[in-house]
Amino acid sequence: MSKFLCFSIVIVSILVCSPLFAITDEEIFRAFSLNLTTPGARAMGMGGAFIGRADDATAAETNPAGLTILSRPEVSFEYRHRDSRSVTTKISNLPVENLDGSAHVPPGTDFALADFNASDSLNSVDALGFVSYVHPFESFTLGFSRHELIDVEANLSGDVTASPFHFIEPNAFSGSSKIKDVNYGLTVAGKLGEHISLGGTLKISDFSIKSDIGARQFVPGKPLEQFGDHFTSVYDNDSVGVGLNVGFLANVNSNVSIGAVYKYDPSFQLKTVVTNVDFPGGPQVVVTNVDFNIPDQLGVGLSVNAAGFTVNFDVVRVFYSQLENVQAGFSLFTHLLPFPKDQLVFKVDDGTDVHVGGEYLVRGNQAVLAFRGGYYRQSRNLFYFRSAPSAQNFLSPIFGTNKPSSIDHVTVGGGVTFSHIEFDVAGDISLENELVQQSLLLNKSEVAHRGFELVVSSVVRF
Amino acid sequence: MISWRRFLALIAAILLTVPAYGLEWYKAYERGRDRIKNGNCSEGQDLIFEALQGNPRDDLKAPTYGTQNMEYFPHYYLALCAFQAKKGADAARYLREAEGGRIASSKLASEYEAMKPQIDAMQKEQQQTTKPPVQTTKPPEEKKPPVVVTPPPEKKPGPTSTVDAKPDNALLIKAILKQTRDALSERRYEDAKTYANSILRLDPANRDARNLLSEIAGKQAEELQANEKQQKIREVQNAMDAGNQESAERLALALKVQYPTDPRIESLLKQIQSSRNSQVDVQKQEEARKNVERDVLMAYYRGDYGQAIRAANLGLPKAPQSWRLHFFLGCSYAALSMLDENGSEDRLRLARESFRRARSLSLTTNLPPYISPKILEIYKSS
Repeated sequence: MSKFLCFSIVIVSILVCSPLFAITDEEIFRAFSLNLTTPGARAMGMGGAFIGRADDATAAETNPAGLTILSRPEVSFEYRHRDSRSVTTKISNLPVENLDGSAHVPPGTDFALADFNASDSLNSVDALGFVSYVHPFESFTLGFSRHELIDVEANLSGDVTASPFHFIEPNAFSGSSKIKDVNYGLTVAGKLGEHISLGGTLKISDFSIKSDIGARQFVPGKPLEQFGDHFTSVYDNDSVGVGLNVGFLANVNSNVSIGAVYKYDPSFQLKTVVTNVDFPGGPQVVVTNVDFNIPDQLGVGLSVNAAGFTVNFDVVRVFYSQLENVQAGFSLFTHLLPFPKDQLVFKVDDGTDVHVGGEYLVRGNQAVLAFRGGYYRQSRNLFYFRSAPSAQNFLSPIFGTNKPSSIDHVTVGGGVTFSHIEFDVAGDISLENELVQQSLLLNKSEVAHRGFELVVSSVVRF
Repeated sequence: MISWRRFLALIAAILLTVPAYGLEWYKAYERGRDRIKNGNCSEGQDLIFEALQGNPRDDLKAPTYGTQNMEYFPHYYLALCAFQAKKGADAARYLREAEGGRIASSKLASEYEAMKPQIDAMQKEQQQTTKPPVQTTKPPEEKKPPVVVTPPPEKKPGPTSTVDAKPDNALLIKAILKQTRDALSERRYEDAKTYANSILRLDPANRDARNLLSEIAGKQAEELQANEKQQKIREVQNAMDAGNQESAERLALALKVQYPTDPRIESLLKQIQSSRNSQVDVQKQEEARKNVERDVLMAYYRGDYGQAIRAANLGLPKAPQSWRLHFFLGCSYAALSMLDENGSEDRLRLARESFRRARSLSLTTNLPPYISPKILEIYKSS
């Protein structure tokens, strides 16, 4: 029996016997960051700190209890523009050891120092991010809202000059991924005593993912650019789930209020189809399911106002670790490595976001002018490498072994209110974040480039 | 355990059944206003009083929530109810409160203008029919502004009680001049200034006092400059102590521009330069060591052990304290000893010697990756 035939039998057995081996992946989910910012330009101008204040129609999402503050029916709209953002990773002198156990591995190809390059870019977004209608009744307040929780389109590409799983040959991947989650909410809020308000938003989540990623390998006589030459991984799922936001707001006195909110978001079963395109004898297809659990959030906020000046401070715990169930035990660079799901482990840690901001109101004869500024520290939902039976030296530098650092945002905004109409605008600049790692041989540089987001919103009161 | 559907239903039920108590003042006001407009004064008044507990002042632009204002005239609606109840005095009193909030400029202005004469007339009529007038609720008295009697400006005393503002007090001026000079010589500049100014109050044209003031100002500026200089020199020294030579040099150069002839600054700059030179030397050495190590490692991992040995022997004079060079030199000798039987013993001996030197320089147990277990055995047994 020829060596190639032996190898083919091994691969067939991997693909056919174990549905876990699919190219679902951390690479896809590490490329996008969830849009967990607070809706509305007013809140965004204040660094997204709004849980303790929540005194306009955007509270339906931020803290439903805040809707009890409203005395008139309100309609609010939010238009959001986000510039494209990218993360580039460059690693040089990455140690690569051939981990393929086949006997046919040619001599002299058991070790190499490789260069790795990857780029994850989020496309720019222009969307109606939030719409709501709120109607206060005598004893309770009712709200309807539509909120785009996730709207990202990412392009991913990467290459490595030598891979441990392909006989030290070059390997690469590229593709795109689009994920959208729109929540349709029904909010009920009421007062429980003179100072306490409670509210809840029942959310119907409309989730969709379309992703097409291909891994290609070096084939003698063929250019490397041929997409999908080797493995492809495709997601095409639409799903509906139910979530819930529960909020609490307490007015300590006329100047101080505190709020808390828990946002439960649903989990979706995603089907992924992996195809070994160039398998000898015809393409091999594996279908498997993973859980995509949108992280829940727990936030608390404090708001203090006096003499036209308001300062808000929020702390939000984001349970990113719920995303870990997307793991299928397989990454694009490990696609020939027979690791069981529970052995190739990637982690993503829960994060804590901090929002702080202020608003100053100038009450003129015809209009109220608002000036706002804030700061927002955003934790990241990036996966990092935890453990594998081997290849740690290869995978650790690519994915990192520690929780990624947070991204700092600075926000500014302003607004004008004429009678019952309010216009607000806010800009959010996320600062560049660079990670540099150097050792004797290995150099790694990962740059999360600066981003900009603009939000324009309006509230009309009847 | 309660399911989330039941929990949700429970929350909704609670919210729908609880009464809307503890209204915000603006909600109570709006509801009270609407009730009164619909002719329901008894309920409306209660709500208006509830609003007044939260916000007692009428206001043309009362801030409510968010960025919202509202015209807030609870006393106008109380006046309306009092008028309907034929309580002229109460109505007039409430209307005055509303006037304080500038109701005449509000959207209620025309209604207010129409109602005011009627309330005035009702109040007059009630006063005439009831003599002496009995006021159920006493309208607040208008406070007259207090008569402010401005006392003539007091003459400020000088620093000593001996100062007197008489025009021809030459002796007194002479005495104060002496006090001024004494204070100046003792560097009590503020006292000296006060004395000199008191002289000028007695004799605005006094030349001595003016000269002294100039001298004081000059001395103060000189002292301030000296202090600043000292402070900056301290900052330079602190930066040097903290190892921040770049910052120290920047500060020292700025000082040099300001005080070009000061020998202390010149000396500081020399110290900084010397320190930076030694830092650069250390960095260069470190860079050279890394380059040599890199060459050796690359050659070793490529399997070119002869080149690794040559590179290590070339680099060791430059970086004799590098345990890595000794280690990889040992590995290279060991690898060659295993690959080629000719001279195997010699190479093994050289490998062991290199390993011993490496171990004497570092006892690290964190050895580089991808080293053959056989070589590691030699290393451990050396």
